[in-house]
Amino acid sequence: MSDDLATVSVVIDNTRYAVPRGATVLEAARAQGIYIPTLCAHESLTPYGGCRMCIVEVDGFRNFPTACTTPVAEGMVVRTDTAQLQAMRIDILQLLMSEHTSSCLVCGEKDECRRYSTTIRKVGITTGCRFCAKDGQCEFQEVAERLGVRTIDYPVHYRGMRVEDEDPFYDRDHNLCILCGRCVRVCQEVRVADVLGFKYRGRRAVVGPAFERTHVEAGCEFCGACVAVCPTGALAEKARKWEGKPDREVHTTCPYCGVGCRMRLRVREDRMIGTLPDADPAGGEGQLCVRGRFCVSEVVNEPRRLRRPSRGAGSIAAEITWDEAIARAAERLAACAPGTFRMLVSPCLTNEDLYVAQKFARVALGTNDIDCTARTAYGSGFPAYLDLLRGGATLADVRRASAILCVGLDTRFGRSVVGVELRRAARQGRKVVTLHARPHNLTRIAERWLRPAPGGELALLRDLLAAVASPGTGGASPAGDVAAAAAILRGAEAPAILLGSELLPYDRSAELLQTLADLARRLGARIVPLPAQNNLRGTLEMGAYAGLLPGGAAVADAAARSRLERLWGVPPPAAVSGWNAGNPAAGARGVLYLVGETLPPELRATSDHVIYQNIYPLPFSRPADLALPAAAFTEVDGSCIHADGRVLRVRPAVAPPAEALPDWEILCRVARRMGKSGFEFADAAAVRAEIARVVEGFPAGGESDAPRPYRGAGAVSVPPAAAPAAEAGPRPFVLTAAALEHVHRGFPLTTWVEGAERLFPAGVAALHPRDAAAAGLSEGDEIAVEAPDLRGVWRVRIDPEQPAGALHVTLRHGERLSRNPCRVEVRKCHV
Amino acid sequence: MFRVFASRMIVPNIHVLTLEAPAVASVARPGQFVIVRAEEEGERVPLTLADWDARAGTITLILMNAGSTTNRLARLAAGDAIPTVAGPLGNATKIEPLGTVVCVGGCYGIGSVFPIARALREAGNRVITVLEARSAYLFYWEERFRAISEKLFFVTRDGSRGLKGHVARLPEILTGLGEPVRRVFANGCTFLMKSVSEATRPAAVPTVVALNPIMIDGTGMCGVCRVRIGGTMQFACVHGPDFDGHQVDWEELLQRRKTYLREEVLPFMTSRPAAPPHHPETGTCAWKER
Repeated sequence: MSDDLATVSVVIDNTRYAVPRGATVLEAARAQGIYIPTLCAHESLTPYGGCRMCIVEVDGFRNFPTACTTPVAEGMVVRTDTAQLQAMRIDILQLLMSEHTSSCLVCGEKDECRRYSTTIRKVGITTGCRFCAKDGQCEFQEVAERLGVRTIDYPVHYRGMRVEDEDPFYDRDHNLCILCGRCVRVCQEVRVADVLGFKYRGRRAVVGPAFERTHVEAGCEFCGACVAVCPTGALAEKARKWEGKPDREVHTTCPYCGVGCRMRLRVREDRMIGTLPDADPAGGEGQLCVRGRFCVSEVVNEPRRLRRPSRGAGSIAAEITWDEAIARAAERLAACAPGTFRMLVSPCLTNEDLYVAQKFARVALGTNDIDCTARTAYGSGFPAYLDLLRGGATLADVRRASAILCVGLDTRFGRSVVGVELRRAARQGRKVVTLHARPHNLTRIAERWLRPAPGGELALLRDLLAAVASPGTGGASPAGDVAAAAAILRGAEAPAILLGSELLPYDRSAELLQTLADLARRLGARIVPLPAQNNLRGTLEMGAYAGLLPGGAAVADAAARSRLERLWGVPPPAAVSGWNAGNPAAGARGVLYLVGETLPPELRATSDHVIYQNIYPLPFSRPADLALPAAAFTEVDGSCIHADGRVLRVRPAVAPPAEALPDWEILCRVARRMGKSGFEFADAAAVRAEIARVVEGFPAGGESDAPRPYRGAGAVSVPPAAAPAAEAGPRPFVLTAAALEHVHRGFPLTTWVEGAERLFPAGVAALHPRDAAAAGLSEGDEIAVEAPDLRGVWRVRIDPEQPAGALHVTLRHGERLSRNPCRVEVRKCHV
Repeated sequence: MFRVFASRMIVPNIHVLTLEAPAVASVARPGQFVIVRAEEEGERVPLTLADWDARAGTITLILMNAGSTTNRLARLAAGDAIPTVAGPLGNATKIEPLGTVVCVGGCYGIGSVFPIARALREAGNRVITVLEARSAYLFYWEERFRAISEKLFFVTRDGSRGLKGHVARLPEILTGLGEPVRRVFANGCTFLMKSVSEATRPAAVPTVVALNPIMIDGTGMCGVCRVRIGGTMQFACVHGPDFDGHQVDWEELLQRRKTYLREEVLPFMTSRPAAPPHHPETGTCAWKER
């Protein structure tokens, strides 16, 4: 008898154990190292009792209960490994094997056959383990081997279902499915997505979206959670089929957006072969979206990566040694006249890279002309957006909120982990209100969908503010919705406002953000910014802007400058030229140094000399004057700062290709060659140590789980927004444009990830079918979209849910509109 | 351009492809092969003729979807066309009246051994056929073999049909026949042909195997298909593809076949959706003939 309330005493296989009260027999046995075979059980899912592998004998129980669904009880006597149980398990497994392509499992020549299967075999349809992506990593294989099954005593039946390989990222072969239901449960319980379910009955039973919808139609986010839990090869990651079993895993942070998910990099023989979510310190298994789960290996393993330094010679890039490259860079930069050096940095860089980059500009070149390209995605509201990062609002605020207002947010393929939080909130009866002009994935869970006309978001937000401020008002339609939404938000406890990026590129984003701030103040709500860039907060804290010093002081702050002077040995420059990434061609011609960024073609023409430091070559026919190969995020030690102030580590998993080096190290080498001191960092940790002396609250270890408000007094300046042009002429369409978010180091992910094209198309304009018919347009036609100061050529997608009279485009990377939204004319190209 | 007359997956992962190639069909003989390309920029792969019809001007190939080119071939539909069908190549299998002969086919070799078995039967032999597959659902052309075979044996790895195991069980079958076997013909993967040769070696039953090394031109120019037979180097394309299985250096063949393992995989290291099968209008499978 156990006298501890937290434990009960049970006998498992003749040995007495004290096990936690409330545990299942399976959990209790596993905790003692006792093996019970399972297929459907999974530690992050509710017990299911479907596969019957874990049957045990319990004294006093009739029949054979499944260990995964049976809770332990005081004095329980369990046997897990009797001859009868093993015989029954083998019998059950044989039944499963008879409908799985199991011949290799019972083949006596399998080892010899494996040696002789010399050509690749994972292309077509799996008809045995040698053809299967999961060979060697399959739980079904493992259970069959542990139980010692040598024969299949039932008639073998191949179900002959079509292999579904037409979606990107993973294949589905239902002929290998054992209907364990793990994918269904993970989709419902962990992702709260309900895309997958069981269809049909008996021998026709399969897993998939109901009502014959495709995965895309059913709202699948391609998060890959189902693929990760599949015990067989039924769900298999396309790009990983030949990569085999990882040797090791490295814990790091996803670089693809500001949600900052933790991820495990899976490595085999110094090659990245995949990623999986890492445990979330807030609890749970952790999550990833399609980008983190499926878009890493192709990006870093890409054969076109920059491997060695090169110099541009006409249209040719000639490889040179590092020594020559550094010497050339140092020589050219030393010769730079004042005001002729600019540096553009990517918000995907680590803190270490950003800190060294701004120090390089300020110390080695004596200029404040450094800027981050992130601003180009934010319109006039960039300073206001950066102010939102001061709040340190976290996803925990979303978990506390009884009502959540989402503004311009779609969580399907980006920030999908936030979408899971929202679905969980809705399932718990908390209220979600979404404001978005176009159909998006939150409409399924939203209590109210505030749907402004495209371009009418600001007006609607102001209506909402008015309705919150004085109940009973609401103006015209959709007044009912506005009043109802206002009532929901007003009555809420700790409401939260989640800000997506749909509206941020609008010209009037400053006013939008101001209205949101007023609304938040009125409601007592916290605004949770969800930046698309993974280290936007890092660009701020490291001082990667002209007017901003590391630590957040304004460049104009003489005391802050002298503090830095004491550390750096040279005074930081005080002058600010007004040049920025929003207008990078302004000012005198000179040297442009790009760190982790590409450049718009027009900038190539207006720069005398381009030093280009990145992981891929420039996508133009004319190479950079100097191209320096950088290491990717899977290859460097570093850190980034989450929007809420947590500092997250980036860890190296594999060696960089050939001679590529971390960005900060390249900059240091150039600076040292220029004879500048203060760039003698031995490693990234040394850079972090210096950052910790400059940036308040920055942990020298480069990792901290505590959200931090940001107190920097300096602000990022933006040029005043151009006055809205007069809407002359009866142009028939309202054009709204969203920025492409799936960008890493200046390149859209679609450049390197072939499966991404299907999910993240850019340069595609959505049009209502009636508008398309009236203009004689069909799906896929190229259209010219014109206004007096604007012209874009995009491909038509006909979308019945797009509002009539409105055109929406996701811009290609680097594409910018002079006004957004604006009224345009549309005509078909190539008629 | 060679038009696809018919194409279908006959059993999981094995495809039967009928092409219009009248020049090949008019002179083809059992045991010969053709070299095909799935697209103009594609690699050349050898495939043994599984059947042909001189009057209709068509040839039939059986292929397993196992790599870049076979994957493209497997996605062809009737009406598509491929740029290259070169053949017939290689020496025809020597067909002579011997008495009792055994034909062993496995996997795609079930298709390629069929014309040999049929010709042997027409030459007056008693044909015993042994078909091998991982499981019962992977057998095809059973009726065609039944029509020409005195006896038909099945071997499956999982025991779902006939004997359980591999062709290593051939000696049991041969002993059980109660009649002397004059020659064994084996078609299939390298492992199957090696296993057959090992199985017949103790009783010294002459064994003919159709070797499948990597091959480029198929006419003796490139030398990629070299194989060591009884210590001398031979080209599978012009000296074979049939060789005495007891004389083949199997280990060397195995090593040579592994040469491009890494390169073979490269086209598939992608998250791209598969081209829709049998969707000629997308242009992703092959060109449509005008």
